[in-house]
Order: sequence, then C-alpha cells, then structure tokens
Amino acid sequence: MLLTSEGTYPFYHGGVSVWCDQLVRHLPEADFHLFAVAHSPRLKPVFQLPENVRSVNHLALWGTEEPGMAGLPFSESYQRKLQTTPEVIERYFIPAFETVVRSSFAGLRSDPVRLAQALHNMQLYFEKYDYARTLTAEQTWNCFLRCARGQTRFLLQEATTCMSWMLRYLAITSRPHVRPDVVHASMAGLAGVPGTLAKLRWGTPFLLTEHGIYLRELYVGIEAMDASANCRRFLLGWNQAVVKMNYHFADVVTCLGEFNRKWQASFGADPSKIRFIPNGVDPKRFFPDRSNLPERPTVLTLARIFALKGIEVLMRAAPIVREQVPDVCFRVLGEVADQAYFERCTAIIREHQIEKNVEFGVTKEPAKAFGAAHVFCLPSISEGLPFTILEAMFSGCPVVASDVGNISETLEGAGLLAEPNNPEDLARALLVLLHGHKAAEMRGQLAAAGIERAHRYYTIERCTEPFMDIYESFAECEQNCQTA
Amino acid sequence: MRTELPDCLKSTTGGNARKPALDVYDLAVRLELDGITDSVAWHDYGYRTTLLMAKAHFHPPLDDEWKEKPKEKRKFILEYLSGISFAIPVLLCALSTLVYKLSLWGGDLAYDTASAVAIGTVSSFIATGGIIQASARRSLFLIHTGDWGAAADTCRKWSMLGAAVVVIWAICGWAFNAYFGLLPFPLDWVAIAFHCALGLLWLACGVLYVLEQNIVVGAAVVCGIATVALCKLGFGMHLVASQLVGISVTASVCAAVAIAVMRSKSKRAAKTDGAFLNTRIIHLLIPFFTYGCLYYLFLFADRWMAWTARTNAASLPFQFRGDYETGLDIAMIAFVFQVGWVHTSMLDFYERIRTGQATYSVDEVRDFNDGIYFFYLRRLAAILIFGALSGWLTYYAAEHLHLLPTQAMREVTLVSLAGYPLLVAALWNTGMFFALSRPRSVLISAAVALCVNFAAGYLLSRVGGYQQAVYGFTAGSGVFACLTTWMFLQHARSIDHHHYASSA
Repeated sequence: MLLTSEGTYPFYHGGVSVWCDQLVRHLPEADFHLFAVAHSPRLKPVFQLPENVRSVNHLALWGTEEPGMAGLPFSESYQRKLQTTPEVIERYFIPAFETVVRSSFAGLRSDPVRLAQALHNMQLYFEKYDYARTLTAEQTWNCFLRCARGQTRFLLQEATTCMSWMLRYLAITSRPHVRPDVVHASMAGLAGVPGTLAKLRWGTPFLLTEHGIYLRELYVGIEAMDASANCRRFLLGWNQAVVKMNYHFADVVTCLGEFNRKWQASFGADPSKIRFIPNGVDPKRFFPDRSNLPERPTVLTLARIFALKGIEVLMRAAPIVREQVPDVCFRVLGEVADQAYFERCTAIIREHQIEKNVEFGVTKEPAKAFGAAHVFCLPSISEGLPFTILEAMFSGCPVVASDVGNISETLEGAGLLAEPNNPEDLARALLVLLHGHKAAEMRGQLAAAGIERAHRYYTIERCTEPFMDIYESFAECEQNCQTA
Repeated sequence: MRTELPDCLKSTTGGNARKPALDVYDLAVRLELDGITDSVAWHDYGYRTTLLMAKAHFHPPLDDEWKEKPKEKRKFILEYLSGISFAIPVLLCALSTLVYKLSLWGGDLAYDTASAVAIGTVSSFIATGGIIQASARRSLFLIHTGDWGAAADTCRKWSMLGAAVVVIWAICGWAFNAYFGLLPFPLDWVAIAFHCALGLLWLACGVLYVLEQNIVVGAAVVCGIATVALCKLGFGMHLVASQLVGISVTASVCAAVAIAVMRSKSKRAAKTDGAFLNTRIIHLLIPFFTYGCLYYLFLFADRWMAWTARTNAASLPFQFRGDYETGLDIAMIAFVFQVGWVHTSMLDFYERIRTGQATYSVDEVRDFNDGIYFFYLRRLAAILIFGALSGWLTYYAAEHLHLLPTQAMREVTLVSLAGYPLLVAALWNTGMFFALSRPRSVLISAAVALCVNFAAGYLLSRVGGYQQAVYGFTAGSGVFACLTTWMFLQHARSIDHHHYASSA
C-alpha cells in the first residue's frame, strides 16, 4: 500500500494521524509505504513506526531553498538542469502547465480528466528535467500571466503570490513513487494526487478516505487568510480542481457519516462510490473508571489548541458556567498549535478573571484524564468524527459537543449538542450536566448510553476491517482483470 | 424558532468587517459555522438544506475589500545608519590608526612587523570571506522560514567549519613559508597569529550581522581598541602583543553575544534535522562562497601589487606601504558614508516593486518594468553624484588637515576616492542580483573586475611608482560597476519575472 497524507502522519499529531497509525498497526499483513506532504523538510516522525512500514517518502512544500525533488545524486541533478532549456520547457512543459493553471481558475468547473492528464504529463516531464528551473523559467511565468489576463483585474502582486503557490504545490508531480498495489489517500487534496497519477499510469486501485472534508475545511480557514479575493479564489480553485479530480479517479471514497457524504457529493464525488467507515477506538485502552473523579466539577477538553477547535468559544462560555457553578474547573489538554490563538484565549481568561477556573496542559494518559472529568466538552467549529468523543464515550464520560460534522450522528442522544460558535448555548448545555439536582442523574444516563453505543458501532475492528476488505476486493478485481 | 438572519448573511449586506463569501459553498460553510444545520435551515428559514439557503442568499462580491497590512513607516536615518554599520568596525580601526597610531591591527610598527601584520590581516579576510557569505545566506534563509533551531545549528556548524579553514590555511601558510623562506622568525608567527585571531573575529562578526546585531560589532571593536590602548599604554606591552589581546577580547565579546542571542532565539524552537551540507546545498551556496572570495581578493589586489612593487632594497620580498594604506584609509571615510546608500537603495527598490505590483495588473507588465528601470537609473545617478561630492569633500578636508604630506599619499587618496563610488554602485547592483537570486551575473562581473585590477595594478606599479597600483583598484571598480549595471538593465526589462523567480 502507498498510504499518503498531508500535514498529518507520521510528522504531526491529530485525529488523521491516529487513524493512520491504527490502520498500519492493525493490518500487519499489509506492507505500507508512506508518502507525507509536510510543511518543512526538517521534521522528525512523532510516531514510532511499526515494522510493516517499509519506507517514508517526504515532500516538504515549504522551507526548502529550491522546491522539487530532493535526494538525487548531484551529477544527475546538475545534468537535469543543463537539459532544461527554454525550448524544452516551451515544447514539453507549457501545454500541461497551461491546462493546470486554467483548471485552477475554473475550480469546480474544471475537467478532471484533462487536469489529471496534464499532471501525469508533468510527472513524466520531471523524470527527465529539472523542477525548479522549469517552474521559475520566464516561459512558465508568462504562461501564468497569459492565463490570468482573462480574469477580473489580476494584479502583478496577486500573480506573483499565486505562482509562488503553484511553484510549491506542483512539486508533488516531481516525486517518483514505488509502483504500489493500492494507493490509499488519507485526504482528498494534494495527498490524493499520487493516487490519481498511479491510476492513470499503471491502473493502480485508488482508495480515498476523508475524515474532515478537505475543501470544507479550506473554506473554514480561507476567510482568515491575509490575501486578496483573487488570491483566495485561485487557491480555492486549485484545490477544488484537485479534489474533484481525486474524487473522479478514486475507486472508492470513504467517509465518516452522512454529513460528510453530503459535502463530498456536493464537491463532485459520485455518490455510488461513497462508503461509510467510522473511526474506532480500542476498548482495552478506554474503559469506564470513575475512581479518580474529583469533587470539584471538572470539564475536560482534549484538543490541540487552534482556531478550528473552538477553545475561544469555550473560554467565553466558562464565565457563564462559573456564575452558576463557582468552583467549576475547565481543563484543556493539548499542544498549542497556534500560539497567537492561544494568547487570544488567555486574554479572554484575564478579561473575565477566571484564572482559577481554567487549566491548560498536555497529557500522555488521556484515559486517566477522562476518568478525572465530570463532562467532556468539544467546542469545535469544524470536525469529522473526532476520536476524543469516541474515547469519552468508551470511558463513560458524558459528552457536550458543538453540532458540527458527524458529531450529532455519532452521539445520537448519547450526549448534548450546542450550536457551534455560540458560547451561551455551549454554557447552557454544560450547565444541564453540572448544575441542579438532576445533573448527576443526567450524566449517568448519558454515560451509559455512550458506552453502549460506542461498543456497538465504534470499536477499532469496525474501523480497520472494512479497509482490509476493500484492499482484498481490489486485489480480487485485479486478479480477475488479469485472468480475463 | 429564529427570526433574525444569521451573522454571516448580515455581513454580506454590510454592517460588519467580514470578507464577502467567495462562492455559494463558502457561504454554506459560514452558515453552518453560525449554527445553521440542514434541520435549522428547514425549520427556521424554510430551505430544505443549508446549501439551498446559501444559494438563495449568495451574491457574487462586487469589489475586493482586501487591503495589504500597512507597512511600518520607514525611517531614512535609521536605514542609512544600518547601511553604514557594516563598515563601522573597519572605519573605527582606520580612524584610530590615523589619530592615535594604534588600532586592532594597524599602527606605528616597524616596516617588517607591519608587513607581517598586513599579511595576516589580508589572509584572514580572504580565508573567511567566502565562508561568511555562504553561512549568512543559508542562515538567513532558515531564519526567514522561522526555523531558528536549524538556523542556530547551521551557524554553529559553519562557524566551526570556518575556524577549521582558518587553522588549515594557517598551517598551509606556515608550511609554504617554511619551504620558501619568505618571512623570517618571528614574523611568520606574527602573521599566523593575526590571521587566526582576526579570522575568528570575522566569523563571530558574520553571525552577529546575520542576527542584525551590527551595533554589538561596533561596540566590541571599541572595546578591543580600548584594550589595545590599555595593554600598550597602561601595561607597556609591545603593540603587536597588545593588538592580539585586543582582537581576542573583541572576538570573545562577539562570539559570546552571538551564542547568547542564538540560544535565546532558538530556545523555543522545535528540534529539527537541519541539513548542514549536501550536494544541493553546496550547489546553491557555491556562488555566494565564490563571491565572498572574489570580493576580498578584489579589495586587496591593489595592495598586494603595491606591496610587491620595487622591493629590491627591502629585507622582505614584499613590503607594507604605510602611506599607501593611509591614503586608502582616508578614502575609506568617504566610502563608509557612500555605502550607507546601498542598504537604503535596496529597501527603496523593494518598496518600488511592492507598490508597483500592487498597482499594475497583469495587462500592464511593461509599465511596471519601465517604472523600475527608470527608478534604477535615477538612483544610480544619485549614488554616483553623492559619491563624487563626498569624495571631493573628504579630499578637501584631508588636504586642509594636512593629512596628505606626500605625493604618493595624495595620489592614492585621490584615485581611490574616484574608485569608491563605482564600487558602491557595483555593490548596489550586487545586492539586487543576490536579492533576485541571480548571482551568476555578479560572479562574472567580479571575476573580470578582479583580473582588470590585478593586470592594471601590476603594469602601472611596475612601470610607475608602487602607489600607481591604486589605478588597478579604480579601473577594476569601474569595470565591476559597468558590467553589473549593463546586466541589471537587461534584467530590469523583465523584473516582474525575476522577482517571482527569486521567491523560489
């Protein structure tokens, strides 16, 4: 298997990384080659890789002085530079590049087959010619300007910014890969491109798994981006075109629930290809143990600290809860992924003088943390199917979460929902479980319902076995094709 | 049941600062973030889904409200001072030599000893020049990417490499001297000691410049000169020994501050695998290394010609020329004031590019390039005129203060004052070529200029007096300036492309 990822496994923590790790560990009969798109060339894996991970190939989008494939012998790299003449670029590269740029401007209106063919041609081109010299050539720049001329007043600054992005993103076509039996992409964006290219080149089966919806999460973040509308539109268009292409070429697209399926279909995935496969948790690691439950009412949040996790909303809900439950403790455990965001959260704490009610930290023992909390709260503004909610359910910790992604389908009454981005509503839900004479009884009911539901639908076997079935069905299909 | 519109729909009709939605999906996602799930859209607003609600409310944005964050107001004086700060240590030493007859590496020394000190000084510049350029390029790139951990690691490793090169160079020089017998004992050890001490000082200064701690370098040099004065005048030590102590103090202060600043900057950085040298990095850094070597060879080529001309009567095959050096030191005062323009002009150039790019559309590329082209010509003229004026003022002041007692000194000062504005113009061009990641043009120009410097300096110093080696410097500077200007004017016609390509 070629397992591909972007900004996750094995260099970063987070839900997708946990899922990738579960997958490779629970399918020891399969050999995995990892291909990770990451932001820096100088990262070290944060996961201990099992023996069935045969290789890790790493594409650094940023942080390299010269983009493109690294690791070639110097003589070959230099030879490639010499071979990359303006005539070669004009003749063999520009037609494919023009298609890619026009597809990016077209976004969801682009033709996925033409885009895939263009990327495939680029991949063949970069097997012989130098990436950086090609992408920084005057012909390439002029081609971009030609395509941009058809758009609403496109400034030179915007062209420079967008071309700098292309320079980095197209590096995905400069990487050679082993010929795999199956490509399994853990996201629909850049991580899916090797799947599409392998499909076109060798007919390799391509499985695409999405946890959050790649494009939807891009929409969530793009408004905060410090860039003009033209730049944001171009970035969105490039990703829309790539995602649409990957959906088109994937043999199977998996998702975590109805909410995701709806979005995938909106962005061009064929509904007949989409299958539900939920996330799963190991019940041996997460089980009810309330022996360490403190007297002080404790609300636990386990999440990396950045905008999508809605920690700011929780901090705004905290003073409302404190009015009714003065000794309430909000314990937020997770790495700070966005320092500026964390500082905004601490500013809210100071503003409302709730320093004694909020604790930040990290933990290596999440199971213990669930056992020491009265309520688990996840105030995210965007999610797929978060592992932490499943872990809380297995641990018998009642859940309060924002109604985003597939969370309402997952809980189905085994937890309380609040409107996303609404501190008052979040506080209301928390107070149901923390304040009043019926709060303890309510917590007990939700915990029992959560345990029952988690064991029925979200064990780790239910998560990994369907993937093995899909891999085997691909193998069978290939055998049948060869026989035929 | 809600009656009010969700926040994100209010924003599209004005009233708050949110950016307009780019398309229907963007609006649908915003609705979801405002709590409008499919069921809310149906029950509260009468739309079957959130997406249909977004479709009903979406209007394509008419105008782009985005504005680039306002840049901090530039302060010309600070920029200019920052520009001259690179040359301040050399200027301080030159002034100290002129006024007090002692400095970190110059002063009132016997000719033979002065020759040995000069050899050590020049070789320290040439040995470390390339390494400092390459190290600075690599470290600045890593700092620019925010990877302070890798930047600190790179600085440390390059400094170690530089120190090793300094030592190896010293051993080779000692062996060469032992074989050919150019410098007798103890002058050979004087040269080696100055070479090593100054080499380490330049390496530490290089790190401080990367960290933008220019002022520390100036302060450390003042400390060093004070130490020399204390040792010489207070403790009665020999000037050479005093200078070695002074250089060691300066190098130690610079190294200590560099280590402290790097540690504090990289304290919170993640541990990363900072590649030190691989073939790709070597390939990228070779032009910068070569430039560093060529530049210092160029700066000292005329001196070498002057020191080796007409040495028949001297005890050594080369002889330090005090009046030649003094002439250059006086001209250097003008150079320091001229070189401040390089930094401000670079910033102006980028300001022009930034504002031009934010003004011209992709249909107006030619207008943009023309604007940069004419800006460049105007600024070049300004640099040359300022150079000529400051040179004339410096010469006038030197004559007035009777600092030029000999004809040779007068000739060296006058000719080098003519050369320095040309060198400043060439340095400005060099800075822009490096900023545009086009070092090849600089290397060709610098190599040709070096050859002209050597050839003209050699011929004139052998035909005329040793002081005429300075014509080599001025001719070389002229060639350097002309070639880089000609090449830059060619690049300026497609500056839009070169600016993009430099972002690679």
